[in-house]
Amino acid sequence: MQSRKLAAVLAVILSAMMLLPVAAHDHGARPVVTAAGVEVRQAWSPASVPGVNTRSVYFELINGSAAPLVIIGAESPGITGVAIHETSTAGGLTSMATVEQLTVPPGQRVSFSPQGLHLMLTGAEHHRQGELLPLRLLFADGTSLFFEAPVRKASGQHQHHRYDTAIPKS
Amino acid sequence: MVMRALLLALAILVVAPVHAQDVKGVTLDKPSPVGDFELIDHRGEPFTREDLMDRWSLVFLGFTHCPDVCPFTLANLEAVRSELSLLLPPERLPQIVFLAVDPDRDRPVLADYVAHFDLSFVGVTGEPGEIARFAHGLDAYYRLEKKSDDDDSYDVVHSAAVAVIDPDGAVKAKITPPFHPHDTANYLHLLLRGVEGTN
Ligand SMILES: [Cu+2]
Repeated sequence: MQSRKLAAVLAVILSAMMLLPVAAHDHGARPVVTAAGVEVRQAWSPASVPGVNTRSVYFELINGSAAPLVIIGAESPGITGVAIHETSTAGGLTSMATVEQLTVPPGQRVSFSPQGLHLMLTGAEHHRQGELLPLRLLFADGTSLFFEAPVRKASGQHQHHRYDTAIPKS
Repeated sequence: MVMRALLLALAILVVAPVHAQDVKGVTLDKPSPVGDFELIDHRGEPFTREDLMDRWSLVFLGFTHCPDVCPFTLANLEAVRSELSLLLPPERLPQIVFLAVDPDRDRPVLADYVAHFDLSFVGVTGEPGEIARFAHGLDAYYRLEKKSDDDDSYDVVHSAAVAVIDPDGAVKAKITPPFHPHDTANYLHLLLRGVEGTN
């Protein structure tokens, strides 16, 4: 009998999402500037069902300031735990690890996006679609940045694009 | 069998550059049978190997409190199924099965959870030993990272792949992320047709 395995390994293409201009879509975050040029865009959180108390939050953080921006954490009223997590898939296994701090160099941005970085909320109550989740990013220099992440349903075709990208000049 | 494999190989080789750029997968020439297991579906009905027979199934293993990977995989599988519905009659659409490996947290919310993605999805869970048997049959792995008895926000390390089960209840292929809906649907369409010899 044939024990030969037919391997159909088809090409992997990394998305070109990282090349999108930063102004692509704004899903309703209301940035409050900390240092000049520091802002959050495209924030959102996937809806879940009642009884699931974990939540992820995605956004782009743009450091348009002249100094490195060091994120040391985040908080949200009424939520017991907020951590920076990074999902990784190695050897076919997917897992999450805590990121203690993250530096965004001047003129760069970082994407918190599915299967990459996310803010991980635990002990969250149920949030309906359309609700706004209030969040505050905490930075090493003592400043913070408030933003709101609309809750909406996750849809297919999300792509991995956690890369620092220079902000296009405009 | 050899002929089929060759035809399948040919079909994939010919089509891959056009339609399936984003699909990573391994197709087994010799499907690997899933052994027996006894689980419970999200409606409280028994779910066993019998429920995998006579139809194609896509099985993804995860947990309901998974905030990042699982929702997107399930949303992609829903999109794959809806793309496939343009190519196949309803009775030949694969059933989508979510194997929930964290029963303490999964069982109470499983019905709501699968319905959140698609009403046709089947969520299954059960006793840890039975979950392990099904996972083993899928050649999948998971590990609960619970740190203490009152830890209710633990992570579960798990396989990222989706197992494609043939109508004989055997693993025919495994596909891995990203599950680009359009390309994955084309890949599966070819796989189903290739195996059934209707092309
Ligand atoms: Cu996480």
